[in-house]
Amino acid sequence: MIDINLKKWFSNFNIDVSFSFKQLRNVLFGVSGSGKSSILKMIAGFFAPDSGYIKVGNKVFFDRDGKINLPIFKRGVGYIPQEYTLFPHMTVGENILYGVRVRGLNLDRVRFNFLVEKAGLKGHLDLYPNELSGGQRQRASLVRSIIVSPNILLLDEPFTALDSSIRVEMYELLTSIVDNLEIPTIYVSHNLEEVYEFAQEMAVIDNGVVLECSDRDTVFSNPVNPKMARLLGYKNVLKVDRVVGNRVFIDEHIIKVEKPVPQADFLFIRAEDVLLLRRDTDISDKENVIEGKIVSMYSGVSSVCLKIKDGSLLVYAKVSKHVAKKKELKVGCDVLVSLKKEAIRIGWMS
Amino acid sequence: MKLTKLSALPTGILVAFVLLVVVWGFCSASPSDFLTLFKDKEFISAVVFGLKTSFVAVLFSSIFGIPAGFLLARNSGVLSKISDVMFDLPIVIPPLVVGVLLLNVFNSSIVSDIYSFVFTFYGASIAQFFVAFPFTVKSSKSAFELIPPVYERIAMTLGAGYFKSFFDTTFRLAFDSIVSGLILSWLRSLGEFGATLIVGGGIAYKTENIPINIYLKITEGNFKEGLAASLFVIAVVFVFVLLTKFLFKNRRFTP
Repeated sequence: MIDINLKKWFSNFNIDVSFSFKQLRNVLFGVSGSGKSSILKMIAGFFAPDSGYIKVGNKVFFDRDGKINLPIFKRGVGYIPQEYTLFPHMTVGENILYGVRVRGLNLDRVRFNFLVEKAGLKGHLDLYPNELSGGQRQRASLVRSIIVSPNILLLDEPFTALDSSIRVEMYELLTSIVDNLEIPTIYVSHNLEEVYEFAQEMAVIDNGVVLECSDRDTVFSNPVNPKMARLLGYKNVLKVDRVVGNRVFIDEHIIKVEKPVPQADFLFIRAEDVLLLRRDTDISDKENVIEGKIVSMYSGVSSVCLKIKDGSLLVYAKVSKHVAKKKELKVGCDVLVSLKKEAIRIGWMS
Repeated sequence: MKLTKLSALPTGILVAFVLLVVVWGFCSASPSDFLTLFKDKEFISAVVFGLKTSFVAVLFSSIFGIPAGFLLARNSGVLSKISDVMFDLPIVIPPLVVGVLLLNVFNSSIVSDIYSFVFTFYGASIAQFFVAFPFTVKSSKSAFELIPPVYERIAMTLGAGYFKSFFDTTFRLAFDSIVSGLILSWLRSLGEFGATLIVGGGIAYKTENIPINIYLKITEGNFKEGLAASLFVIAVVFVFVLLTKFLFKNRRFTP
């Protein structure tokens, strides 16, 4: 459905990516500066790659070898950036109908009413963008892009500037519109929660290259290297010394994994999957137990991240604030933690 | 807060200075002076000539100045920066010097063999254009710089071509400031003296504009009429400066 293979050389940065998406809801995920927004802009046609091709459905947007480079206005893309979305000198209604007007299309009243209603903009069509809230502006922008039936919808972190409560509403609206109208979408984001919420398929981008491209659950559960593991929120990236069957040696510790592996360079485990045990727990039947000391604690809104040291091994565990308070956890406390075998992932150098 | 209060004193002195000069001028002139002025055919001819030449100057300022402002706003290359400095020159060079330089060009055989601009309407218009167009360039540049190019791109994703996307978004958003720049250019042309006098010659009923007419009135000893003509210019300028400031203030949107 979406087939991308492109190279672009900037003065201090290169992009060299190749990936394809077959689902409707797709995500380019990576940290800021990884090149994901530039890839999106090249798909939109804001600037051209140095080589490669961009295909969406049966339409070729760009093909260096075939000397094809469709101008922006012939690609039929809907593009929503983080800010500067609506034209400030036009009312919401004028903004929404801009594409219909410039293309000389007949307005599909049913589609218009459906989208305006769904986006909650019915009573706001005569207002100017500066008279709307941030969420309403992005909803209007979404409707404006959708109403002209784009070949593809490109979203460049469009909800980042919104409050978290409004963001959830926006995902729901976006997901329902994309699924209802079957519009292939690429969503660029550096926010893990956002990505997990929206993606069916995703590509992880780092430093201008694709680390992994697959369906969401595969990507999230199988980070292949430390870089990707860290990007995907695996707090514990443990360097492996050697492997014997399903036993992995890390310094003087032996960690058991689910299945025997021939080789491994790293173990990855989420801080949420490191379980805090009671001090009086009988550990004889427990696996992967680490007895260590809390060396630091970082408090979040609802959870506390513990940094636990056992010899040279450092492990991060996440517990709820309630548990941390009940167990009177503080820096210097001795704790027992267990690494959930089924949550441990194997990683390699590259 | 303290600094603001301190600044009020010099501000007040400046306002009083301007008011004193203008109000004193109006107090010194009588209605009969204005009546005589408007009956003076040479003055009326100077007004018409000034309006015509300044119109040509503004027309060319908009044709060349707006695209130049757009380029300077969007391109940060060396040539753009050099051009930007070049466009400062007509503002800082004394108009009399501009006149001398233009006269030198017009008298050169390359130009004079094609058309003799000296002491003509077109010569005076070119002189006024030279000193006035930088105001259009500068205001257009500042206006375009404030408009993010992403609006044009979004318009293009919605189906608008290159020119339509520019016109519907960037140009419309920058319009107020561009018009302000054009009004400034026009007022600069209307009040142009030195270059117009040197190139046009200040010939009565032919190449004489309002400032030249005022100058001639004063040198002929007709101070009262010269003062009335000056006050007339002030009134015109005042109206247009007010217009520039308040014309677009009541819009609901904020560009």
